[in-house]
Amino acid sequence: MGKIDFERFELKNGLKVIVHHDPSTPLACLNIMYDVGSRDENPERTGFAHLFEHLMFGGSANIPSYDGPLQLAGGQNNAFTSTDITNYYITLPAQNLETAFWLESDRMLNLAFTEKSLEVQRNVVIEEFRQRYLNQPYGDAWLLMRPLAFKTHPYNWATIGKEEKHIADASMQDVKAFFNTHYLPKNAVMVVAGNVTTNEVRQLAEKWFGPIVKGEKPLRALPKEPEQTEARRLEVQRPVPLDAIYISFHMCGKEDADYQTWDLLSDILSHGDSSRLKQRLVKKDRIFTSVNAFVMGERDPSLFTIAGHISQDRTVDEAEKAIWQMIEELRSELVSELELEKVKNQVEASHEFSEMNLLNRAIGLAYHELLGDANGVNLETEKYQNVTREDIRRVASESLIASNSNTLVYHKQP
Amino acid sequence: MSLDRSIAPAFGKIETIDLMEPKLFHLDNGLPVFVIDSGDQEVLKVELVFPTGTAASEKKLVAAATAELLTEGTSQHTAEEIANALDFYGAYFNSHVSHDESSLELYTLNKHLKNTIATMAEVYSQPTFPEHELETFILKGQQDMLVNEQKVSYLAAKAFNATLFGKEHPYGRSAEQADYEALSRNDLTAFHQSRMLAQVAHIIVAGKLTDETISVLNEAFGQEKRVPNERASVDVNSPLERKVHVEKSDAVQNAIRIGRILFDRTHRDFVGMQILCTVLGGYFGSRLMANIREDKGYTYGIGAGLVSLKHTGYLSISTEVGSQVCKPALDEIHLEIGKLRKELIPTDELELVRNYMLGTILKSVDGPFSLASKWKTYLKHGMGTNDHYQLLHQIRTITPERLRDLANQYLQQEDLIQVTSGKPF
Repeated sequence: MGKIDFERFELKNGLKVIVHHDPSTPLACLNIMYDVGSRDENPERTGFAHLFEHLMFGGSANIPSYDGPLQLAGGQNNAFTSTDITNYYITLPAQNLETAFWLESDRMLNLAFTEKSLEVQRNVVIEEFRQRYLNQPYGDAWLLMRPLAFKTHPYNWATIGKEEKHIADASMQDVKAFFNTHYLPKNAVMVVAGNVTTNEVRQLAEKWFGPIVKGEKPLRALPKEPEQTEARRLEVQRPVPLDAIYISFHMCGKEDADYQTWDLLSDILSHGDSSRLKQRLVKKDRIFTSVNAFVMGERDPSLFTIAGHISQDRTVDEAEKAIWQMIEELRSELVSELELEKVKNQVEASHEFSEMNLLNRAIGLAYHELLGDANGVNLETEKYQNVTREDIRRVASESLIASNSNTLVYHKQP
Repeated sequence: MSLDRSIAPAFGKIETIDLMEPKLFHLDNGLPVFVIDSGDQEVLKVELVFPTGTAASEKKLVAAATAELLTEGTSQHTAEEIANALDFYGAYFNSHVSHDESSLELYTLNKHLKNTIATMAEVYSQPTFPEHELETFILKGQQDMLVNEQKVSYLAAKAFNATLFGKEHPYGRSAEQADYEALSRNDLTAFHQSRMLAQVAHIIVAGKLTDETISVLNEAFGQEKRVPNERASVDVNSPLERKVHVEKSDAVQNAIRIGRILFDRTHRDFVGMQILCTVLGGYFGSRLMANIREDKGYTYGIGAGLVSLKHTGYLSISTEVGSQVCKPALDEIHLEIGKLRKELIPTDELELVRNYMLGTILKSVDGPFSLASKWKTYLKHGMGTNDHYQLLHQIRTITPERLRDLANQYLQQEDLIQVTSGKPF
């Protein structure tokens, strides 16, 4: 399978740079991933990493408008924030690469916040909160599940924040402190991909990012989530048309040796129409109109979730029993060689399809460099290939148990 | 030697954007195959395109159900066996149904092409549409609809189409609960026979070709006789209503749709209107985004764009705003449209939009799958490379005066339809 080639160097101020040369495209991507996410927030000031991502587009020390000059050079950009990282990316014609360096380095150097842009972005983010989490059926599921499942670790809150108020209360002082702590060369990885050469990237990186002051990489000492010992449950009533159930189990973090086993476990349950949940619970028994199993892919120990919308004429009780029955089979019986080979083939194919996209390759390299080695992106598929049937059964029997479960039920209003 | 960061580095304009032409092959039965042979990954996308969509069926949901249930059982295999056969190779199907076209796509690794294409040929030519699979489709569809009806964006989009074209019009109608119950196996079988088996338009293949790709396709799809495609025509009438509100009183945001019927992609003013729409709401720095999101903070996002159907097209401006600011948001949208009619777009802004659009076009023809979807659109409208170069030319040369004329011709306030959903305002 295709390997992503890259070269790597580091600037004196600690900024790590990865170059991925692809001469088949006229484009270049510049991707900067900062090692900061909502898990790094103060529990009384949540939603901050994400609000901050919005403010990064409000102009920087020497460049009043971020978007204008980029669009003028034929470029596009966006960003996303998760519990673990904040990622910014630009795609533009390769010939205009320097424009991207100019823009990104200036906002790493210093932002130019104004009260007005802070006020507007607070409102924009509150509208985002409403659009995506409050004004959608089941939109608040993770606002409910995270605090149920995490009692001490900051995965306790969603990236959008615990509540609107935290966002509304964000002050200029908070914003500046956040920038000074986290937006440092040593706390970032830059990937430049596409029709670019390492020489050119090195020169541009030295020129634009070289002068930025080094700073100290912030220390991270997050509280560990204590082991869960009792089943937890939350039932809510909402104006939803179908009852729904979410069951989340604590699982390992992304770098753990068992991570791929967990991921394949979710594939066995719900990747593709032939998967167990789709065939049994949706098509054969029609208990659910839709049901999925998935991992969050977070760095610290995180959650494995099975979630579904329950058919109108079925009960929550039936649905819950049906899920536990599927779990029981994974705990007691080995999956067949053929089924395991199937999910491994699916992983291999998904990887190939995803890597057709230049930006996906850039993000993959950046993420793995943040974990310690960009080449990790090329080793992923093999890790999946090494998972055994026994691994699947072991993980299921150890962890898919009642005392490790967090159950969230939506009841439709009578 | 200090670096002056306030000065932007020099940048180049996009001089030309080549559009790779697909190679055209004909299978033994004459079926055209358009091939985009490019990319480094050992993958392939094979898309069977049918010249009929939802507009071609008298009864609602028939086209969608037929496409969806193609893969749910054949004379030789059950739905589960088919799913297994494909999943085992990490391959998957996607079916698309639009107003004027349907298609079945296969995504597969090259090394498994022979196996996966055999499954595709089988579901295409011998589907049985089992009764119980149809029943699952109906139950699931009805219940998914209940979930969607809780979303103001869904309610507004549905009402917007109905208001533009008319509730019963092929382009304006939407499915209701009862339409699911009215579906029968016979509808699907008949639609498949007459619209999909007889009338496949062409095949589009994209990815890294191997020596055997064409012969594999020929064996799968080149043997049965096909008649050339014909597309039904669709007439469009003027809307009867201008303002519609769909109430959902517990909403915290209201959805807004503003627009009007215009024309399809081949119309001489299409590109001009596309540029005008980009200025208005087609990119992050657009006037609507700058005003309604970045200045007022009323919304998470707002956009304007042209939708091209086969026989017509329309303008759509869409957003979700805080329910309490629905009225001021509407006023600001109309204010921005009014400015396009009254004032010339400053040259700086137009220059930015030209470059931005060229940048997006460059991206849209990069990579085999992007090229395939570009050509799918072009083939649907009988367009080709000349249209691509014409588009580039117009983006580079259109004048602010011409754009103001277009705004006056097509964006008069009394011609625009406004649909909202959410709290009364």
